[in-house]
Amino acid sequence: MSDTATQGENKQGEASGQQGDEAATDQQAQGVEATGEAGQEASGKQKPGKGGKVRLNKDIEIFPGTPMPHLDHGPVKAYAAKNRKDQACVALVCRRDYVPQIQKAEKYYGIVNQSAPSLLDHGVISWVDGVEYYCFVYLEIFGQPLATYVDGVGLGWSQEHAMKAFIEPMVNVLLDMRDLDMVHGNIRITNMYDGGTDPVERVVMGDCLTMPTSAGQPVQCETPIRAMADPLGRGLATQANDIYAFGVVLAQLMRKRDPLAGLSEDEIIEEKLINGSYAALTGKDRFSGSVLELLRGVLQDDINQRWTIDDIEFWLEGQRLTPKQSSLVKDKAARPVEFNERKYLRPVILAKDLHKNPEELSRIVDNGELKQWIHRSLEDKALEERVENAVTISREQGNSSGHASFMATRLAVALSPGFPLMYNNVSVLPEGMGPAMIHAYLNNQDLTPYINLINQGLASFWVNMMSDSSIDVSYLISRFDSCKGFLMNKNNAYGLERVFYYLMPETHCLSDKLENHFVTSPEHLLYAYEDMAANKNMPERFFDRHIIAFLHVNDSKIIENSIADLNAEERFRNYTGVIKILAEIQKRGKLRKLKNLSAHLVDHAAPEAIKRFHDRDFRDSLARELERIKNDGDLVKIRDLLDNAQDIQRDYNGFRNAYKSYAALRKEYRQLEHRLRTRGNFGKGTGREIAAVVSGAIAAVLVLAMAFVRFSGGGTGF
Amino acid sequence: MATGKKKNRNKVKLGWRGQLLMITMIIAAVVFLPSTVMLTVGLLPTVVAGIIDRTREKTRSITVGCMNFTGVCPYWLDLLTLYGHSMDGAVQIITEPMNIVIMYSAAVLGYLIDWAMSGMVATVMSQRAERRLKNIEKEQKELVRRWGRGVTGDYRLDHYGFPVDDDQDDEDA
Repeated sequence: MSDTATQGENKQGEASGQQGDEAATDQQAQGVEATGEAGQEASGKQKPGKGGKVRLNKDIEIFPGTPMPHLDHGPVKAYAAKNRKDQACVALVCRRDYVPQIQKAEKYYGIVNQSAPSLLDHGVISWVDGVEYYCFVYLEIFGQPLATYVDGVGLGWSQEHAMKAFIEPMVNVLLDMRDLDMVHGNIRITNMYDGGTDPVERVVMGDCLTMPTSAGQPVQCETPIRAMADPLGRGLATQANDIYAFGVVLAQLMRKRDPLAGLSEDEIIEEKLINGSYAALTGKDRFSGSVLELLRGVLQDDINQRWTIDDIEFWLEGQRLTPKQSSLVKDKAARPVEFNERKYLRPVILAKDLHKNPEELSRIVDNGELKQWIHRSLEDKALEERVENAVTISREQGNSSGHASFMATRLAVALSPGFPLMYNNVSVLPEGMGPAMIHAYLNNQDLTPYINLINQGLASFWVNMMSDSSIDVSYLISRFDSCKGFLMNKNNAYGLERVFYYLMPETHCLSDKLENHFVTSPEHLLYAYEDMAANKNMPERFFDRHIIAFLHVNDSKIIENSIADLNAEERFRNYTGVIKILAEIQKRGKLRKLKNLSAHLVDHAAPEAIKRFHDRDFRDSLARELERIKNDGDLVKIRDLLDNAQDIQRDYNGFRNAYKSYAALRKEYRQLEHRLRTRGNFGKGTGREIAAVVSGAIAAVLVLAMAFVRFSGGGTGF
Repeated sequence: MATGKKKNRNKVKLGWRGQLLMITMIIAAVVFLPSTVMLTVGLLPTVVAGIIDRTREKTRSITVGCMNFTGVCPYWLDLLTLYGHSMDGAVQIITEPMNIVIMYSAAVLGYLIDWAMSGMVATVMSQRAERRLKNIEKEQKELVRRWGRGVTGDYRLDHYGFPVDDDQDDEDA
């Protein structure tokens, strides 16, 4: 009860309408005002202080020196932590190449359940290696995992024990998740805990936020189709996947031995495809009573036949439903087809293996062997049409290198709609392309297969092949058409970088410039820059293609007006664009003053931006004004000085007038120079005119004087 | 042939007013013959100046003519008042060598005024022109310092008015 009260208190405290990123922003802002903390950074995040403690926001202390490996979630490491009330907590520090589900965390706060650990807080922390990671902190109610490995697990629980300790609590959690419209996505026996009791009284569900859904699921815990995709390429899980995984765990708890022990992943998948998941997972173990119905219902491979959470609830209430035993493998040919030195009777099994030898596939396609097999041995018109379609499209794409591989990919999907796209060493479902690509990028793996899958329109092909109309995947067509367009556009904000953020908007910014920061929003970006400016390790160029694409996807309004500036050839436009964008982020986010960043901008970006003005005197006065405000931390003021429309117009007009003046002066110079060159006559004409005037004046005076004297005084002759 | 054509180009065709004036002047010259004789002889330097002056404005002729007339004027007044505007009086005046000297000396003075003024004014104007050239250079330098080398018009400018080949802005004065 005390746990419930604590959970309720935490829920009320945290789920009061704050969004995760904004909460982190506010808390970062508050962190700056906090005093007396060792190693405080400009962004507010605390560096590890004395005793190697790392703080998450104000309330949580994490101890990097105290790992808790039994609570690791796959590649995500767990560490001891405590909150302000000195309660024992667990901090799960996410890996940067696995995108955490930050937005789902806000929904998770709404779960109040003894079998779901309370999420106390989450946010960005500055780890002991100087790099930022994302972290989720739970109240420590886990205990020990039910199993430390999946292979060979069979705990032999009784039905009563399973009902009380697992089924009822888990169904409650799944119902809560259904009500909150969220999915766990990582239900497996190694991610379930005993709650610290032995025997287990009530199973506690493990973390579901630190990595993408299905990323940690081994093939046993996934449906055969999803299991064929790479863990990070499985895409979003649905509640149907959670129910399946719930069934797998139940089977593992109740069975005495693992019928799949020692088999490879490929063999496990094939076993499920041929015999069905129920038979594959339970083997020779026989279950009786109502739990048999439950297991059959939740382990249905056909999603339309699988029980929903409502069906499970009805079953718990005592209503009995009789599930059908079916497997995905409906078709079995009368005769086999030979491929890659193996004989195949089932198209779905063939589809699974086509990518292993594309050249061999081309042979049996080109010589008609495949078509004949489908037509004569399967007699499935719809299948025949799909295969024909796939072959035609492949041939239309040309005979470029990789043509055979693309055909193998298409044919696999045609043979079994919904199959992952298997190409080269990659196997992804379209929805899983985003996290898979990001993981590959961050681990310096080859991205060419993903690019080729997009450019070849294989996601659209996959959608068109989907025969199950109950699943809406039509949005994928426009999504991947957009990605294809992005790849063709080489400008900033597009390209492969845009594809990453478009397919996986939750991801942090993958730019190399931010390799030590975990930036999940434009506001975080600013704080990261502030931090870097404070430590004097700002990159030379503020933005790269990643940052631009990241901003465009996260908040296009901030950047779309400045994209032209960022793509321009003129450097002053680039830097002005950067300043405008950063100022806009600060203004819209109502962020605090960023003194280090503003000083850095004035020292490094403004001198380039100022060059847009022709008038050097004006530039000098601007530079003086910028120097005066450089430590104010107000990026908007800097922008207003550098991007003032009136000043720009005035400067341009002034330049035009100066241009005209220069031309007029040059003309005057040439004329004068020419006249001076003929020096002999220069000024002579004017001189003569003046001489004529002088002479005329003298003559007029003298003549008048003489006439006056002569006619008035009766003067004598001359 | 060319000279003839040139002469023809300079000739002004007289209208009826001009012709009337010409006739009137001829009649006046005949009626006032003594004045005509005396003025013809006395203003001979002016006629010569008019012939040798190739400028359109004929400013030298005017200069010499004004001073020449000044020299002739007193004798003409004598002819009108003392000699009763007679032919004898005219002949007497023009045959007196001293009179001719004075008349022609006045014309020489006109030549001197013309030579002196044109020389002085040409010198002053040349000096002013050279000063103006220096000022123009200064102004141009100042324009370039303030607005950049793009203002000279010697460079191809981009949309914003900056030289197209400007990798980095030049900070030249």
